[in-house]
Amino acid sequence: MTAETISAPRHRPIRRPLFRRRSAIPGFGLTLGVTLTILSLIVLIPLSAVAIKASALSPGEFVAAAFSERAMAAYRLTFGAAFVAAVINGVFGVLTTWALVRYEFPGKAVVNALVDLPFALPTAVAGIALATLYAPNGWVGQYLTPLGIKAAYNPVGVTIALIFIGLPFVVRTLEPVMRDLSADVEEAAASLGAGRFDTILRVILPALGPAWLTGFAMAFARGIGEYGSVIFIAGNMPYKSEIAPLLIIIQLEQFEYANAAAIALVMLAVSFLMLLVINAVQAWARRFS
Amino acid sequence: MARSKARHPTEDPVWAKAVIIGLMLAFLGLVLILPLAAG
Repeated sequence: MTAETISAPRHRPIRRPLFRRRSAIPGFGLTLGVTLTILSLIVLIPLSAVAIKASALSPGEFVAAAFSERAMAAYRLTFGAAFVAAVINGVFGVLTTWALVRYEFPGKAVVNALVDLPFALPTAVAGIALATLYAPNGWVGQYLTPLGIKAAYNPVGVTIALIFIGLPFVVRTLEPVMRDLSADVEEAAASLGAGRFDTILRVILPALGPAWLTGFAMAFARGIGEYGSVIFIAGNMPYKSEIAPLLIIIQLEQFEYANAAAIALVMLAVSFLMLLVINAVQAWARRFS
Repeated sequence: MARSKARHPTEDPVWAKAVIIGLMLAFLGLVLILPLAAG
């Protein structure tokens, strides 16, 4: 008997399983694959194409195209008007949702249907309608002009168009949350001595916080990208009432594709950062609701 | 015996309802209903 045969059997190395534990839900790999493929085809590859197109410019050319005085004025107007419109929609969206969910009044069904109309209406139609209404000789504009208020062909007009476009995002995001708020909580607050105002301020509004932020973010994001309705009421004057999406179109019409991509890249980066911050605030708010 | 007309504690007062519905209609009128009518 040789030394080899009497020696202890060598243990085979322990093979770790590739996946530690199988998920109880089947099809995770397939679902993830389909999700990533669709996301890449629809979102990531087109967006990376913008970055690739802009990379044709040298750093100096990129700065000259993306941060020119005209482009900066367009960014300020686009993001500023979208923010103001989202805030106004945030305030009046809560009132509208409250009335639609809590009260019964004549014509409620019509108002409820009208709120959804900006989703379906072609944005150009909305722009023409708003310009007809708020132009200095329009239905409402003719009464505002003598008061020194100009509501069309300036940043105010841009904001009005973005309010029109963004309202349903706030209302339809808040509505299911407000409908699901339990009456027990309000009754408990009332039984503990809270007045109606205190109950709304300290019980109802905090519960609506995350949904409100979601609606606000959606209205804001929609406002940043809006083009069709705004160009009819904005006046489109460079440095004054020209929005960034219009500036991109102008660059494309002049065959300055790389310049257009540079402006688009800046808008993409700022929009992404803003939505990231809003989502972080939303996650923070959810911890307290 | 007359029924009590006391408001339920979770119900808004009538004046608050009127103010909220009025504000909503004014807002929707200016940014939604009138533009659609004009269109």
